[in-house]
Amino acid sequence: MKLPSIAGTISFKLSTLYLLLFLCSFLSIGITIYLLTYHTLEQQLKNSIETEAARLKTEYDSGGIAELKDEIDEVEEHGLHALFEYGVIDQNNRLLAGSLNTFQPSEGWQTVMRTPVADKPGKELLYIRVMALPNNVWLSVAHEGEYIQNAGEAIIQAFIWGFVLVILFGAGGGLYLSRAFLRKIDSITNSTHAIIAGDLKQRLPVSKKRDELDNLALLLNQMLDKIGELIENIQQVSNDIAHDLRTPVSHLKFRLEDTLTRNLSADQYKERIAFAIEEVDTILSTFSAMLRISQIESGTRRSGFKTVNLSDIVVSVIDALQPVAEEQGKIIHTNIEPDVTLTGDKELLTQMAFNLLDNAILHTHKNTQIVVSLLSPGNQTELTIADNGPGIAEAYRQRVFQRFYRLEQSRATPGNGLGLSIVAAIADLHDGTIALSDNDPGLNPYLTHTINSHLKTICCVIKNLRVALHFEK
Amino acid sequence: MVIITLHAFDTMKILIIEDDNETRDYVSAGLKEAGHTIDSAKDGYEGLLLAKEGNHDLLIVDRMLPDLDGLTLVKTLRSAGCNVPILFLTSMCGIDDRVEGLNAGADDYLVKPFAFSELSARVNALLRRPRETVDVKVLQVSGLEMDLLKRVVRRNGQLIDLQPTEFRLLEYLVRHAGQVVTRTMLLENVWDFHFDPKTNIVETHISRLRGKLNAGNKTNLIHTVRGAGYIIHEAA
Repeated sequence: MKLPSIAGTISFKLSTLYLLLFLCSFLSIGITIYLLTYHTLEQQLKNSIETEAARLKTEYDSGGIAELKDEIDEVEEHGLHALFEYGVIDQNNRLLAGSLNTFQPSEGWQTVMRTPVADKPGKELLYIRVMALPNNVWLSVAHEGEYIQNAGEAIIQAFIWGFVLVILFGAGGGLYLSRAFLRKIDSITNSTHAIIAGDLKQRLPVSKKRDELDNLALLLNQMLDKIGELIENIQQVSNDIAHDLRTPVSHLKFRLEDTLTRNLSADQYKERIAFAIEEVDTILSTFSAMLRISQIESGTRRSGFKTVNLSDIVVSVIDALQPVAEEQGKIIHTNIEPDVTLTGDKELLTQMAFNLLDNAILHTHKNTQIVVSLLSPGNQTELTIADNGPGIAEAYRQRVFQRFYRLEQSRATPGNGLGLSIVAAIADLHDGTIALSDNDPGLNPYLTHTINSHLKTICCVIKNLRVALHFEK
Repeated sequence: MVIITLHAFDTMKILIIEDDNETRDYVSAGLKEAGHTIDSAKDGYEGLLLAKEGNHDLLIVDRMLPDLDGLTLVKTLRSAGCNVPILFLTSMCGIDDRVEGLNAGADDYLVKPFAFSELSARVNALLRRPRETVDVKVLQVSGLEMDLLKRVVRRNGQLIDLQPTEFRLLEYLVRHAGQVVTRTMLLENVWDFHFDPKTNIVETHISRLRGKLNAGNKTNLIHTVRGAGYIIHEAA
C-alpha cells in the first residue's frame, strides 16, 4: 500500500479550503475598511472646505470684493488658515484675490493634481470648492487631500501584510495538521499490516485525544476483538474435531481391520458391519450436532424469530420425556405458568428444553426428584430445571457448556458432550443467560403438595443442581 | 441394510434429480430393487425437463444442484401446476433448508446422509398419501378402532385408555398402516421435534402404547422392523 502525498490528504485539502475562504473574507473586510475610511476622511475634508467657503461668501455678501480680498489677504498673511488656499476670479479669469487659479469657473467640487511645491513635499492632490458669487465672481477654497490617499494606501499595505501572514500561518498550520494526520494513518497502516501478516493480537493505536480517528480505531479494535473470538472459536472447533472425532474413527478402523483379518461366518460379518454402521452413525450425529452449534452461533436463525409459546414447548418436552423418567425411576414435578411467550425459534427452544431435561434425567440416580418450572416474573422469563441429584462441583460448572466436555462421573453414560453446548448456544441466540447453582443442600429435601405454589419453595426443596435460564422480554 | 418388501404397492415411476453420482446410484439401485421404475437427472434443467415430460408418481430432488438449484426447481414445478409428491434432500449443515424446502412446495424432506430405510419409508408414505384429504372420522385396522372425534380407542371391542400423546402416536401409525414408519418420522410428526434426541423417547412411548394395546390380547399390533422403524400390518 502507498501512502497518499501530503497534498492528497483530506486534512490538507480541508485546510486549503479553509485558508481560501478565510482569505476571501479577509479581502472583503479590507475593501470595506478602505472604502469607509476613504469616504469618511473625504467627507470631513469637504465639510471643512464648505464651511470656510460659506464663511467667505458671507464676507463678500456684506462688503463686496474688497471685504473678501481683505479677509483672504489677512488669513494668508497671518497664516491662520494656512491649510486652505484661496482664489477669486472674475469672468475674464483675472485673479482678484488669493493665489489659486487652477480651477474652472463652475459651481461644485473639483480635484486638481498639482506639481509638488518645494517646501511642501508630497502635496499633490487638491480638493477645490468653487462657488459662484454675485456679479460673476468665482470664489474657490482648496485643501490638499493627499493624506486621504496616504491613509488608504496605508490600509491597503497593512492588509497585504496581513494577507501574507495569513497565507503563511494557514499553509503552515495545514501542513502541520496533515503531517499529524498522516502520522496517525501511518501507524494505523503499520498495525494493519502486522495484523494481515498474522499477528492477530495487534491492535490499532488509540491516542488520549479521543478524536474521530481514535473513535474509528476503537471501533475497529472492537471488530478485531470479535474476529479474534470467532477465530479462536473456529480453532477450538478444529481442535475438538481432531481430538474427539479421531478417537471413535480410529476405533472403528481397528475394528474393521480386525474383522478383515479373521475368518468369520456370513452372519458374524453382517453383525460386525451393522456394528460399524452404528459407530459411523454416532460419528455423523456428532458432526451434525457440531454443525448445528456453528449454525446457531452464526445468528442467522434470528431473522426467523416469531412469538412462540414457551409454556407449550416445555409441556411438550415434559410429555415426551415423562415415560423415560418413569422408566428410570425418576420423578418429574412441574410448575408451568401457562402461555408464557418469548420471541424466538420454536424448533431450537424445544431442543434447548429437551436437552436440559434429558440431561437431568440422564445424569442423576434412581429416585431423583426433578422440578421443571417456567415463570415470568415482571419482564423476565425463567425456566428452571432443578434436581436433587449429585450436582456439579463449582469448578466444573462453566466447563460443562464447552464442546465435548464430559464430567468424569458421566463418562459411562452415552452422549457426545455437545448437549449442553447446544443449550448454551441456543440460550445465547435468544439473549438468555444460564446459571448453574446449588439447590441449597442444607434444607430438607421434602416435597409436598405445595409444589405448585411458588418457585422459591421448589428451589429450597430440591437441592444439588439447578439450571436456570433467564430471558429478557 | 434392511430392504423393506413393498408387496403392497404397485410399481411406481420415480424421478431422482441428484448431481452426486454415488448418492444417485445408491438411491436408484435401492428403489429399483423395491420394484420401482427409476428416471434420473444430473442437473436442475435436465430434471425440470424430465419432470415436465414424464408422468412420475414421485420426485426426489436434491437441494444443491448445478445450473438450477433444487429450491427453484420445486418452485417452478409447483407454479406450473405440477402436484406430484416431492421429497427434498438437504445437506446436514443447512438447518434452514427444511423450512425453505417445505415453503417452496416440497412435501417432505430428508437430511443427508440418510439410511436407505429412512428414504424408503418416506417414499412409501408419500406414494400412499391420498392426493385429496378426505375427512375420516373413524380409523380401523386389524380389529383396532379409533374414533378421532370422540378420541376413543377400542381393540376387539375393548376400550383402551390412552394419553393424548399415545393417541397421536397410534393415529399416525394407523394412518400409515402397512408402511414402515421410522423413528424420525414419528419425532417430526407426533412430537414436532426436528432435532436428534439422543434419548430413545420413541422406543419408550411405543413400548408403553404396545403394553396398553396388547393387554388382554394375544397378538402384537405394533411390530418393530429392525434397523428401520415400526409397522402396523393391514391384515391381522
